[in-house]
Amino acid sequence: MAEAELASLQSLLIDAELQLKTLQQQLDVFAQHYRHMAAGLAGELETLNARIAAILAGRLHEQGFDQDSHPWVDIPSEDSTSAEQLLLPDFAPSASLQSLYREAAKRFHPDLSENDEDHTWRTQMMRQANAAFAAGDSETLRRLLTQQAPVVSTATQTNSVLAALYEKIQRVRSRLNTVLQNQRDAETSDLGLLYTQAEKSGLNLTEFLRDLVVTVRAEIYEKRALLRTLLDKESTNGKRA
Amino acid sequence: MESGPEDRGLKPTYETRDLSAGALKTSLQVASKDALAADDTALIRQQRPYLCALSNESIRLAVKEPPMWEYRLYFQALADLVGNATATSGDTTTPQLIKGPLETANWIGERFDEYQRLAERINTLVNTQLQVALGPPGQSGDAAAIVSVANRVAEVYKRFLGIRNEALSLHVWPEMAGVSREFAKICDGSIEEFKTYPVRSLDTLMTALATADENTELVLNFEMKLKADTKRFSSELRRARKHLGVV
Repeated sequence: MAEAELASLQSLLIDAELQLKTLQQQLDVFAQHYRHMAAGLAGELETLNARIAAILAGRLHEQGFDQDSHPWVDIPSEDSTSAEQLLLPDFAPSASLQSLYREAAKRFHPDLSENDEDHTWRTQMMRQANAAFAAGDSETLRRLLTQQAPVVSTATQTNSVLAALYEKIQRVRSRLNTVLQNQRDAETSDLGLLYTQAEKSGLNLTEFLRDLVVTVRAEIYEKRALLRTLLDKESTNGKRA
Repeated sequence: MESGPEDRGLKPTYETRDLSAGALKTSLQVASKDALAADDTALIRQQRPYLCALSNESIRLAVKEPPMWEYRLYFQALADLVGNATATSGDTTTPQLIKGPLETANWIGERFDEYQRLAERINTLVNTQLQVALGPPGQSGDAAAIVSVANRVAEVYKRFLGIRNEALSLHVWPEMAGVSREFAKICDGSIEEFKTYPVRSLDTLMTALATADENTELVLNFEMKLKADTKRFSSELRRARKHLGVV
């Protein structure tokens, strides 16, 4: 009964680990593209919005914004064409890569270890497997799977078999909860939500971000014009006073 | 990326790594404002039948009107319609055209004249009707009129596909080989140009917009290159006719 439960939990954990690792890698690639193409412009728009909000609320000086500064002079130029060449491609693991990763997680997952020695070995192996998966390196994953686990020394097997089994179930369950929570956190982070928008758009990452850049840039120009008008107004009012 | 089975308890914190949380929020707001829900696109297709055959991206451009949406809609709609026409072009089989060498020469000559008329028609559509549909500078364009022009240009593409299919079914007479080869080049070149032109133009436009400066006037060339090597074709046709005893 306990063995069946462990097997079922292990299977769930391996799937969840694969999903989390895939999502994290996809977000990493997306973050890299976003940083190159849109982050600076979005930051500029955020600053303009904050300045306009401060003026409208009559708190320009309280906010520490200098009326003489000219936020419209320097717009970050993110050259999408040159940057794209250095960017990683979208992360879309093949079925065989996923299968290899599943196999590796089944063999090396530290939470399935028998003792400390085994845990150390598994941790090292899993780290290499994670790096290979992120790099889409099937060969390394295959090579790792041929590695023999160290012989578990009987001296460390002090617990009864059943107690060890329950302990393992506990560890796997705990890790599964952590993985699922991490997955939810990643999905609901702003980057995760933006990535979901990109996926839903039907465009590829570069097209989506370029589209975003064009809209952000247009908004920046509008906001600069508005800011100029507001600052002019403030200046006129100041002179009258 | 450090998280994974070996580092339990580590929480991914994407916003705090080296991306500004505020900039990300701003990006998310802009993207959300500009996005269309799947339910919306279905409803919009019902409300605006002229958008029915077009992709979700075309619908989004027509409804959300992002910067330079008129040009983007035209190119996107044309890419959609050319893609649709290409996908269905293999559905109809053209019966084999059995013609003698002279008939073949005449048929190719007529198709070439038609090809030139069609190329001229595209010029008229783009230089007059599209300009009206796009609207005067600083004013919004007419989405239905833009899609209508894209449809008419795509109709010309369909006719090009038809001519090519008919040409493929012709018997190639030895004395007509040169004419057939040159005519095939014209057909293939035009079809290839139709397939790549909207995507290429959209790419040029978006790259320019993404890096444009507000004080610099944007000058872009969206010329469709349907220019065939008419000299070679005409010379081959003349030679074949002469060979067949037709002056």
